[in-house]
Amino acid sequence: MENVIEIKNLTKYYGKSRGIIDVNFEVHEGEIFGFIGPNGAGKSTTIRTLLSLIYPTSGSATIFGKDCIKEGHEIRKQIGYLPSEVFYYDDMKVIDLLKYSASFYGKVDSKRIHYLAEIMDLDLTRKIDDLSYGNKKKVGIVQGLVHNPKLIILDEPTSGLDPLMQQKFFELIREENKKGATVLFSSHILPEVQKLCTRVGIIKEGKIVKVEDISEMINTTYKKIKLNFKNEIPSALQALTGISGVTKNGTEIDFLFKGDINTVIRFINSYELNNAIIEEPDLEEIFLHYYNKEDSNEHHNTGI
Amino acid sequence: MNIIIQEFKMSYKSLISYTIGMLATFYVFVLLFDSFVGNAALLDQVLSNFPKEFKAALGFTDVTMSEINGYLSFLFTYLVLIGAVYGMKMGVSVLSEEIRVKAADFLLVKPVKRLKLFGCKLVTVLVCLLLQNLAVYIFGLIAISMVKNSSGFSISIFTWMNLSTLMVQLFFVGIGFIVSVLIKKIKAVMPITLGIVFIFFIIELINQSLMDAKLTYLTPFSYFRGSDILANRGFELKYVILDLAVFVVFTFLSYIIYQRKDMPSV
Repeated sequence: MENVIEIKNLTKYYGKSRGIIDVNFEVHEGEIFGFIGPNGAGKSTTIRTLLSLIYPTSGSATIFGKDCIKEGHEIRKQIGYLPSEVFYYDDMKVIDLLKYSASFYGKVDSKRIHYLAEIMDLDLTRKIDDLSYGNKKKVGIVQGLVHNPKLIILDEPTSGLDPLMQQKFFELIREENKKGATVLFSSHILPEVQKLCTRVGIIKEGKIVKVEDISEMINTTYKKIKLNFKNEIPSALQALTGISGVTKNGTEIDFLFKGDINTVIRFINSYELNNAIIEEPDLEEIFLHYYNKEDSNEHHNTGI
Repeated sequence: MNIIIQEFKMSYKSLISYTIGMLATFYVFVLLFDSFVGNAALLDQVLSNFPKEFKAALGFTDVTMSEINGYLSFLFTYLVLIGAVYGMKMGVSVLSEEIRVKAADFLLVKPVKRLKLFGCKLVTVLVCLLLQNLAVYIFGLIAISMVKNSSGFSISIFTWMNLSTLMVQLFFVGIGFIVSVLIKKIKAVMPITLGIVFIFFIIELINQSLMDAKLTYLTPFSYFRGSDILANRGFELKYVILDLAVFVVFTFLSYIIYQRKDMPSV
C-alpha cells in the first residue's frame, strides 16, 4: 500500500512554545486515518504544517511523494481541507464563495456544488455573514469537497453540526472514501473516530504516543467497572492483569480494565455482589489512562 | 485572474469612497476659485500678517494663490494627503486581509504559490491607484474647465501634480506592505494607516517651517511639492528615484517575509 502522507520528525515551535515535537506517522492510500488528542495537543499544528500554512522548525513531510513546502501548491490541487474554525470573507454570498473556491481547481462544476449543498442542506443564496456557526461549517464541508480531492483533511469537522447533519456528513465522507479518497480525520471525540476510521494516531503534548489499528484499539478498549461487594473486597481481584486506576471506598471498588472482559466476569462470579456496573469510560478517562501509561513507559525507557 | 477579480471586488467600495472624497474636495475648492480671485488681494493682505513659518507649514509660500496653478498646488497638498491615506490603507489591508478576517485557512490552502497571491494583490492595489488617479485627472480637468478665471492654466503642471499623488501613494503602499507583514496579527487597518501617514505629514509641516534640506529626504510629502513642481515644471530626479526605491525595496522585502510567514490560527 502506498503512503499518501509521510511525516518525518516534524517539529514546530512557535517562538519558544511547543507546537509539535518529532511527529512521525504515515497515512496509507485509501484509508480513513483518525488523528486524536485533546485540545492543544498539536493536531491543528500538524495539519496546518502539511498545508504549508505554517512552516516547520525541523523535519519534513511529503504528500503524494512530494515535499509539502517546496511543492505545496502542486500538492494542494488534490487536497480538500476543512479547518476546525471556519471563517470566510463575510461580505460574500455562499454560492460566490464556493465558485471562487472551485475556480482554483480548474473549471467550476456547478452541478457538484448544488449536489453537495443539497446533501448538506445548505442555502446557497445567503450571505456568509448571516450564517450560523453550523451553517458556516457546512460551507466549509462543501468547499472542501467540491473539487473531488484525492486527500481530504478534516480538522474537528463535526463541531457545530447537529446529529442528523453529522450522520449525513459521515456518509458523504464514506462515499468519497469509497471513490478512492484518502482521509485524515482529526478529532477529540473518540466514538466518531471509532465509527469512521480504520487506523488512528494519538497525539499528546505535541508527540505521537501511539499509532494503532482501530480494530485492535476496540479490542483493547478499556471498560470502566464499578463493583459493590456484599463482603470485603477480595484481594485477589487487584492481582488480575489489566486492572488499573483503582479507587476503593469500603466494599466498593472502581477500576479500569483492559483485556478479555470474561476474566473479570468469571472472577466476580464466585463472590456475592450488591451491584455491578460495567461501562465505556469516557474519552477523558481513556486519555488520562493512555497518557499516564505512556508517561511511565517513557520514564522506564529513559531511566528517569 | 480569479484572485485579482475577487480582490478587486473586495476593494472597489473603498476605492469609490476615497475617490469621491478626493473629487468632492477638488470640486469645492476649484469651483470657489472664481469668487476667491475677486478677494485675492484681501487674502494676500491677511496672509502677509501671518508669520512666515506658519504660512510655509500650510503650503502658502512661493505660490500665488490668485493664479490657478498656484491655487491648485495648494489644493494638491491636501489631495496628496488623502491619496496617501488611501495608498497606505491599501498597502496595509491587502496582505493582512486573510489574517484579519481569519480566512487564511481558505485562501492560502488553494493550489497557488504565495508568490502568485502576493503578485495578484499587488496588481489589485496598482489597478486601484491608477483608476483613482485617472478619475481625479479626468474629473479634475472637467472641474477646471468650469472655472472662468483659468487663464494661465497649464495642463502639464496639472499632470505633474496628479502624478505626484500617485508617487506618494506608491511610497505608502511599500510602507503599508512591510508594516502589515511585520505585525503578527493586524486587527484594524485605519489606526495604523492614519498614525503613520500623519507622522510623515507632520514631518513635512516641520520641514516646511524649518526649511531643512535634510528633512526633505524623510518624507514623501516633501519630494513632489506643488511649489517645486511650479518652479521646475516637473519632478526632481533624485526624489523620483528615492520614492520608487522605497516602494520597490519594501515591496520586495514584504514578499520575502510574506512567503515565510506563519499564518496565525484562529
